[in-house]
Amino acid sequence: MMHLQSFRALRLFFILALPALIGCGPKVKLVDIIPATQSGETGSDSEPNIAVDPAHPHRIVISAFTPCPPMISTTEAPIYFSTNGGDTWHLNCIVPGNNAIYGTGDITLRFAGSSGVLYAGILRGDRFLQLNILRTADFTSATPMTVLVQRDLEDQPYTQPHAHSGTDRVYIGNNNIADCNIPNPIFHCTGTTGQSSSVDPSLDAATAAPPAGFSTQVLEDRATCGQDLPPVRPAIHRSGVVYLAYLRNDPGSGCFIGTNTADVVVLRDDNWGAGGYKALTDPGDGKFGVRVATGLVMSWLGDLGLERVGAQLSIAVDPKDSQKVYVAWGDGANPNNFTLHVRRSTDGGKTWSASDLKTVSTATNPALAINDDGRVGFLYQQLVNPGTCKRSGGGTSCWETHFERLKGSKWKDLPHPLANVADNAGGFPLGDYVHLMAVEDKFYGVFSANNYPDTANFYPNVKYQRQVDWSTHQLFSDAAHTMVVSHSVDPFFFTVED
Amino acid sequence: MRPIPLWIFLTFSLACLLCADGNSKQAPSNPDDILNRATFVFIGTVSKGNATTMPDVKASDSTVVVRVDEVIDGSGAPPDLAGKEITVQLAQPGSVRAGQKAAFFTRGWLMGESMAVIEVAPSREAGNSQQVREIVQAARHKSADDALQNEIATAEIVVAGRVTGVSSGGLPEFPSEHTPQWKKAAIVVESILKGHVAARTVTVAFPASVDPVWGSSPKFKEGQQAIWLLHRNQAQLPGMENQLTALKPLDVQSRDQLERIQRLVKSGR
Repeated sequence: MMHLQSFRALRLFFILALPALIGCGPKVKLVDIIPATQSGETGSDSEPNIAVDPAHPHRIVISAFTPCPPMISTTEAPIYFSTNGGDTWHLNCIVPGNNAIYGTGDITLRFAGSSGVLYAGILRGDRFLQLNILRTADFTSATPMTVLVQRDLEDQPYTQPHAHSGTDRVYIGNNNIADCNIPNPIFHCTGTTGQSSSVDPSLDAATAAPPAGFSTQVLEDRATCGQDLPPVRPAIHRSGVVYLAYLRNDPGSGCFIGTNTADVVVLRDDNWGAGGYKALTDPGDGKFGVRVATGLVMSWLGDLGLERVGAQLSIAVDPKDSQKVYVAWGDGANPNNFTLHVRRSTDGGKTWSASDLKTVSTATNPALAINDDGRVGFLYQQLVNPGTCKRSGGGTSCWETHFERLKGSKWKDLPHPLANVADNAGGFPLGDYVHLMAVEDKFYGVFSANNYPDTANFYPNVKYQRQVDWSTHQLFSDAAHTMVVSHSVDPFFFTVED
Repeated sequence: MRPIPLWIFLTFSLACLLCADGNSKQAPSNPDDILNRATFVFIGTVSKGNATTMPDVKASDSTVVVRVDEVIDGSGAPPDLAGKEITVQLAQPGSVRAGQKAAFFTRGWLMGESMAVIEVAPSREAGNSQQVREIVQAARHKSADDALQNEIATAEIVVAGRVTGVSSGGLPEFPSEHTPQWKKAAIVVESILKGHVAARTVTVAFPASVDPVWGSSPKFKEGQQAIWLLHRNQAQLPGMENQLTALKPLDVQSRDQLERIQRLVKSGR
């Protein structure tokens, strides 16, 4: 037995440590971002998002479903931030609309560029489906973010900006629930067209008074079953080429009853949106936006493990080539076999690879990014049952969080999952999305995972700021390690560079 | 309620006159305002002036490092703060000096390896910590009463009763991952504390969804006994305008709160 353990340790050394020591492996940083002074928290800090300041990449902000400690605020929800490249993290409550259990609702945040202004699209935690578009010039200050736009009946605001000629160009994809028009009597839809996929762009958002140039543009050009699925994802190239991907809900879809039948649609505009995102026309139906894949059956909020799945989508454009664009989505009528797909276009979205570049079964939360070297990064979370993660409590399933890079025509996974953790930390442990981005040649990402502290569950050299005893697999609320707290879900920040 | 001691009243009055720091946003106008805004109150000893414990807070004559001697009030604060140093951004630059022990009335700002807090009024000598604790506790009770009274004021009906059944369907849903998954609870009214009820049973809609949008809204089950603060059009969602709901945690109170709620209903008239 000892021999076997020694062999395993040696093998792990050769797989993980040796490549890094001789400089040929990827450099990976992995940090649980819960600050030391928040060590007592046991919330489900899921559905994280990340913003890295492209002008100063050591400035990083992360969001998650975390309530603000009442000693700071009962009215503003928190962000986490780091000003040293992600080594240490702070919590600052500046997002309007705190909820005592979850903090904010849906939230995505980004920096544009040299302005240093942080933007966010959120659903407030103290209202029901109310969208706010926010900004702050100083995310470390105690001053709440400024509300630029406030609108009812919206879903999944997804923020993506880009700096251009001294301006911050900000695009917030959103699903306009107010426009739903579903004849099924269980729904109360008072809209007219059901063409709900929309974007709120602003061509100069940094300093102008609210609404700072934001106004809504409807993207959907086709008939729907009454409402599109929630994700609307922008991707922006510095040349002014803007892509938007969304999931059109087909007229024959179950339309939020059990399953949806959807098309992956990609729109493009070549001048920062001035052309109305009409650069691509589908050769099949002549409508704006190319249908990358059609008739995809998607379980609607069925459970994959303890996580709900239904509508997953990501898009990324190559910084070196505005015509090279990748899209990833999830589908599957059976939530237990929800499957991710990645496809590519090399002609600006006109045509797409007929088959998947990558297929991952029993997985969710796809996130794509492309670095300045043109290398594609792909982050996702896969349920494995029975899994190999260490655990306390019951169950056999594990969520493995993988980060793969496309090298030539081959995907290369890290030698160890970023996280491989038990799926027994309560419902909704991951959230409806994660995020990955690249600044220069480095990838930055965030995901949520069970924080059960066992080094075998994480990429080597994982760092916790919260009070932990790795040998006993315990978490504590105090530095003296006298007050044990239960395991829960935390956001994990990571970087990968070759 | 005990009268506010003179020294605290004077401290706060002085704060009203002197509080002009940009981070304070609004100058507190009276002791109640100060206590309401002070979400973190502690007794501490100033270690260093013009210093901080956090790299993201720039040292200035408005920042001091303070050793926490005793936490008086601070929900969500680390349990082992006593003896540790934190950063205090002063309401009035230079208002304290190294070695001085004081009662700090602050609100939290940053939590990291250490903490930073912002004074809502200039601190003064600590005095009797038990006295400070009693004053803060009294203020917290009053604040909780105010919040409940505000909720009662916006409620159309306040009843004590028992859930006799829960059913699904018939209420308008939204096609979103945040669908409320409405259910209806039939509540037999045992006493009416506010408003008018036409029948002995009222129907209350509640979201069964545990999605973050609805996760903090109370869920009801058969046999549950409580006091309900019932609102109409509380969710402000189309199609739900006429439904009675109790969507906030404050809207469901345990029955041992009956006398308190009766008092608040009466005083709110």
